[in-house]
Amino acid sequence: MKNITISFESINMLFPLHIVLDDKLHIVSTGSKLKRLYEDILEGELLEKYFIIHGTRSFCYTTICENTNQSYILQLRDSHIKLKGHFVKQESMCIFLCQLFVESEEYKPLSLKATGDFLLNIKSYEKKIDDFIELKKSLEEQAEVIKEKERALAEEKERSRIDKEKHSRSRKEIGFKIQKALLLGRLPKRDNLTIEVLNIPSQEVSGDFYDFFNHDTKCMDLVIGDVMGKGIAAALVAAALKGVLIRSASKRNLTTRGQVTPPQKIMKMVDEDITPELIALETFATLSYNRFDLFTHKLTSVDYGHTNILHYIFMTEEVNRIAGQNLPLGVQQQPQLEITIESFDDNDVFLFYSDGILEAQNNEGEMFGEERLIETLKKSSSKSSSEIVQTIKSDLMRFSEGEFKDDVTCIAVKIEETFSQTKIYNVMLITSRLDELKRVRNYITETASKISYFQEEKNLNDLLLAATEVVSNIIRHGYNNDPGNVIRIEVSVSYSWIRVCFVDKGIPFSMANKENVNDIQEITDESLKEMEGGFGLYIIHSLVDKVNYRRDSKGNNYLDLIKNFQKETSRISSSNLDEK
Amino acid sequence: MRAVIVAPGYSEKMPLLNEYYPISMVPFLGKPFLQHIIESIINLGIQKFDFVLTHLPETIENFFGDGKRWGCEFTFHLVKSVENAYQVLDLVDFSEEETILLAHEAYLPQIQLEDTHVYCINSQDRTAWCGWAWLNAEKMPDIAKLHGFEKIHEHLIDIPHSTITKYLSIISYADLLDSAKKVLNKDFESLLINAKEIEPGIWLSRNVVLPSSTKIKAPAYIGENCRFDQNIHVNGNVVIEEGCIIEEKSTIENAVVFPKSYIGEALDLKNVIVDKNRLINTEFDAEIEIVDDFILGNLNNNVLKKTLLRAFSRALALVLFLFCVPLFLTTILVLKLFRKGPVFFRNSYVLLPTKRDENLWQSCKLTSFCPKESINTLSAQSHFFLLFVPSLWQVAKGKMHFVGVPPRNKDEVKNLPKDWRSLYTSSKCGVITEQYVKSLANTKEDIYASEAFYAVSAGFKQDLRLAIKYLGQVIFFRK
Amino acid sequence: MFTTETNNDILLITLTVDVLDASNNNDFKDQTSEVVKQQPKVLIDMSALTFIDSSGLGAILSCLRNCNENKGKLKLFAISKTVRTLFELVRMHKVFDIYNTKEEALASFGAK
Repeated sequence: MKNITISFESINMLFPLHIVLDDKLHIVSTGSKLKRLYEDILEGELLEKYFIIHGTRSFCYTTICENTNQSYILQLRDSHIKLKGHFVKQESMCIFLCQLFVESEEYKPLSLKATGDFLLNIKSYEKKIDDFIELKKSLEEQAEVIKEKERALAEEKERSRIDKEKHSRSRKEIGFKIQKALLLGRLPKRDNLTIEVLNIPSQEVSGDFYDFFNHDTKCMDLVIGDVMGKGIAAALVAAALKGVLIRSASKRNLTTRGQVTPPQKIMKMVDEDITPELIALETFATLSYNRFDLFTHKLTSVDYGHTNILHYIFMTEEVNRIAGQNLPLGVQQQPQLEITIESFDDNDVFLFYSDGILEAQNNEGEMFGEERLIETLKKSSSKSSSEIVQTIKSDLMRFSEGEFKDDVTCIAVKIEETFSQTKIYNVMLITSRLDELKRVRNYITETASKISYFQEEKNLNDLLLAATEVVSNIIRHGYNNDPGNVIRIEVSVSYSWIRVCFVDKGIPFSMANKENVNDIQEITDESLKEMEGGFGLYIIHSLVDKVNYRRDSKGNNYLDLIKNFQKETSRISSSNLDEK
Repeated sequence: MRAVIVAPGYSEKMPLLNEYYPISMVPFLGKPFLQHIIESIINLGIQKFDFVLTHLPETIENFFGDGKRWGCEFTFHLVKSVENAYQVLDLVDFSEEETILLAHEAYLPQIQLEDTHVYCINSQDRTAWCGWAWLNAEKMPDIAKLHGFEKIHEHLIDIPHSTITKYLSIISYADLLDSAKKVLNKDFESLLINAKEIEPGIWLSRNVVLPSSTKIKAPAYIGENCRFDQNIHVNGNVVIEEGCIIEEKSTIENAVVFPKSYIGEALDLKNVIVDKNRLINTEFDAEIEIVDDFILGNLNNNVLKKTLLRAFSRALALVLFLFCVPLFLTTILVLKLFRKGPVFFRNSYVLLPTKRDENLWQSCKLTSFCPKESINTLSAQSHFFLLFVPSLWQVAKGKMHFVGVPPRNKDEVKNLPKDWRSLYTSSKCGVITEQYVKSLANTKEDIYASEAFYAVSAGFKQDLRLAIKYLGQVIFFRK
Repeated sequence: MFTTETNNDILLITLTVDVLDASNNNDFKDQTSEVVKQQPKVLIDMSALTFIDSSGLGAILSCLRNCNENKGKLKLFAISKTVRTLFELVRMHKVFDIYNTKEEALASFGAK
């Protein structure tokens, strides 16, 4: 190869697309046309930042210098423009002398066929490059137009969607208005139970319904039901069913002498009335008719295949599931109705709900389910009924992210602890001296012995012993034997339990925590002899049914001892109760 | 006249039942057995009773009180242990009495008034004293000095004896079932039964829900407040105590069901005693505590097989352990000398199978020579020495199995995902685990998969296969 | 709080208080610890006691330990029904020798 000296200007003129690289393959400068074609190229950057190199695998300075005869194709990144040419070594630099390389037919006019004298052809190349730039421009413009059109189309779609939604929403709203007016009952105001309803409507009107019938101060009925299917048809059936229910519930027939008709009788009437119609319509309904009798503290429920009723029992902190046995309404006439009777007491919570709550799904398709509902109920059981409903709502919303396929209806009924109902309510203050223990015992004896259960010496003694343990614990550990403090003792009695509450301002000491308790039964006889103390907590926990501890923000410790004196709270279920 | 009823309340033959009932409170046709004893003694004209109690005395005292209900005078004596039961006889003032009736809580022979007399019964071809005797009050201090039933009997040898054929006994499960059969078949008639005999051999108490589809074959006794579902067969010699619920299609034959038990659907109970979730098979004297209340019957068929397998594995473990004692001791020595850090590692674990409710979990301690975390990285040989050998003792005690899921402590079990936890709690824990034998990776998914696979396919064959594989790895090498 | 008398070699402690709880258990502990020292046979008459709580129980247990340290024996008798309930609840009947009457208790020491 001969050494030819060519000035930079002539290179630029001959190869307006050339690229000058240094020995590290950084771009030193580019030809004027290339600059016009591609304004983004900055000097000093690596060649590979802008170009994809075709035709070789190992691309480095030394291989380039060695294979000057090899032609390379460089393709601009993000573009189909390719440059084809050779590298020429120049001192410590190399120059890529190249031309546009076009494969596709469309750009044929741009491809360089002419070999021969470059200088002669320069003008025509320039023109071709200009053409190419124009072509590129027009292509870009076209793309812009297409984008514009797409945007317009999307807007159009969005608008029509909103329109549709508006339309459906207005229809939905009408549906809900109907549902609210016809199917959902009004909340009764009662002071011995508080009721709160959660109703989240879904896309469509459904057959969920509920209502309340107030009979007198001691008796209230609650009906909750769901007609199969959705839409106006289901709602209409539900409305009809509710009509029959209201008529039957308010009917007082002669045989009961103006007394409240028992639920199984009401349901029998409803069953007889509506089952043939439901069968004819080929639909059915699940329903649960419940009577709260606050005089006997019993919930009587007649269930027609509705979801279980959840009963949170304050005493045991357990949730009982009340399941019915009857078939749904409209399957067949049922000559024998099963009823379930559940005893309840103050602070208990009942939860009635539609299956929409159980079937609410999260985005993994998992259902909310009864287990979660029970958990939620347990966790919020100490709060008011409206707070319980709020907790359920927020849990449900979090779980399903606000998407519901079916209506969600949920009614929480909390049996309020009203003092009008508790027979005895008494308060006493003592100072934190151990010789006050006797007064405490006398006071509790006086109050408790009004209940026949505690007239038996053993039962009273259990309570006294537990109370003594608590007070001496508070004095010794809570107040550290400092005699200048006060303990307040309150006794309240409900239908089935007595509660003795101790309030003090001492050091918090959780006696309610069963984990702190030594289980005497697990200690061997030998080591029992060596024990100094530690019997106290065991005694408290074994003698009363429930121990509750809480501390408020003012530093008061509340310790409740609760003893159940109505042990007969077991459930009875009988089919022949309605015979009389 | 005065009666002394020795009622220590504990029988070695009925450990499971004794946790909840002292023997004398074992329900027998609607009443505690002791009440039958008292009533039959009252019939003889005795009104002063002394009771000697040790096990769960408060339940007995609370039930019987001072005896006014029966127009009698009850005195309760507490003793520290069963062995001391007869020592009390020395202390009670019998000076006003001539003859004393000595009785035992577990037997009820049919007897008459006599001067001095000793009653024996025939059981298992042996004639033995049943703890009942008319004795002279002066004899009491002598008896108090003697230890044990047999010794006392020897002492009474010169008093007239007779062998009673009409008697009831609740000293073992088989006797309990037998005694119930005797009463139902009217071989022992002097009991006062509260229930009404509606047909010959069928006693029915009040408030029983009995659908028309129930088929009852005499003799049978059904206690208060029982509820029967549809299509239940009661095939004779059955006692069902108060408050039981029996689900549909179950068949019961020659069985005693204790109060407030639940019997699941389509179960076939034969020759058994059921107490809540405890099932006792009298043919093999096998006690089984069933974890899930509702599958009582499904397990029933495998009772014998399971018991045998368990006994076999425990025996094997014991033999192996004894065999390995020298190895065990050498291991301790070697570790003490050559390994840094502690020799023993004690880990607690939850006994399996157990209920889902974590409050019912029971824990146990396992001593081994390696920290828990490194178990899966051990070579088969060190696994054998460091874990398998020390665990043998636990297996022999029946607290663990050869093959099973890895033991975990309460917190670990609590932290398992729900589905995994329920699989885990229904499985059994063992020294050899699927995960170790198959050398699976230590990721959650792999462990879960191996445990799930094990829990689902567990059985004798699967266990054997894993054990053999493990043995192979110990003898040859682990890949 | 209690009176003592010695009969042969048996020390009889008769409780005179009706309540043994946190308010007086320390007094009982202190006073008995002196009295029972070096006594081989101690009897406590519990008939006057109508109420006992866990700290009272602890006091009697400490009395038993004091006794046992000196190889002495401590027995109780005439425990009222309510006190007995607590005793059985915490299985004290497996720790103490308990008798119904003074005569029985004396007889158990071999003195009639």
